[in-house]
Amino acid sequence: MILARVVGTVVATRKDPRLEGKKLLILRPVSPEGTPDSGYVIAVDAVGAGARELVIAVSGSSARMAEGCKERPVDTAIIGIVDTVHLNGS
Amino acid sequence: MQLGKVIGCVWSTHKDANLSGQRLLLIQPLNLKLEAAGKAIVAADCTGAGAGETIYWCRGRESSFPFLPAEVPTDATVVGIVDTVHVAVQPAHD
Amino acid sequence: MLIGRVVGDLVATQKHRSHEGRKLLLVQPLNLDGTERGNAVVALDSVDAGAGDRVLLTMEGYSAMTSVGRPESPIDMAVVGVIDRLDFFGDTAVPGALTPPAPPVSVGGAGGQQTVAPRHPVKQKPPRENKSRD
Repeated sequence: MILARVVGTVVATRKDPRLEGKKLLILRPVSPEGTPDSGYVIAVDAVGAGARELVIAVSGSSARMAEGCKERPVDTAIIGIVDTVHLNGS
Repeated sequence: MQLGKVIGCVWSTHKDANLSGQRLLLIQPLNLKLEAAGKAIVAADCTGAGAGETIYWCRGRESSFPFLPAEVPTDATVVGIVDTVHVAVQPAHD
Repeated sequence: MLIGRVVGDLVATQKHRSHEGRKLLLVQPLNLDGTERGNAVVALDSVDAGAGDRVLLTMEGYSAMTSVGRPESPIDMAVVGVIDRLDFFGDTAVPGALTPPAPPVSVGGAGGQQTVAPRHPVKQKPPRENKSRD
């Protein structure tokens, strides 16, 4: 699982029917300190995450274990909204 | 999948039993201009591709599926021989 | 999933039977600023995407296989959606990503199509117009 920031949304009308009704969000992975890492990923939202929120995302076949993602072509899913991150010593 | 070129063969007598009878090819991954890109790899083959042919190959667990029900321990397999590559949009940053 | 741009397609007569009847697209994965992210890949098409389209590219086996209706097949990537629009949230905006895609160039001239081996004649088709982009 990774920590990531929700930086945008994707609108796609023509898509796999099993993705219909699913919110597609653009995530940028972040370090535990909150600084953005390089790269991005497009994830299906399983928890109702909002703009700029810090979230937990899961990739690979485990993504389909997220709520409402079973048997759908989902390779990355948002499975949690982060309240706080505690780092040792801070 | 990715584009590649068959640059050789690998022969191995002592190998996993589920690999017996499998041709093992040396594949050079290619970019859109069909130039070498990245390191050569060893791949199984389900197409009968020959030396010098442009192919496309699949990687990961899925690359063992052509051989089902045999459980061939491969992570890369040639799955098609390319006849033509048609590039309609030139890459933006060339 | 990643954002990609369909830059072309390829023809393969001899291929795994699970790939028959599906378009083989050449897709260039993109970064959020619109620059290229690694090499172009070969992906099966499940949404009738065409050259110039900005697409959703899945690089995970189950998603790819099932989206093209070929379970238990050697398919590791597929185009599962055509992107109409990307919206970025104010301060996180990535300017280049919102620019429209480069128009398809003419394929009539030299270099548009590379014949790898003359197995059978291939008709050239004109690049498609992108209808659903704002």
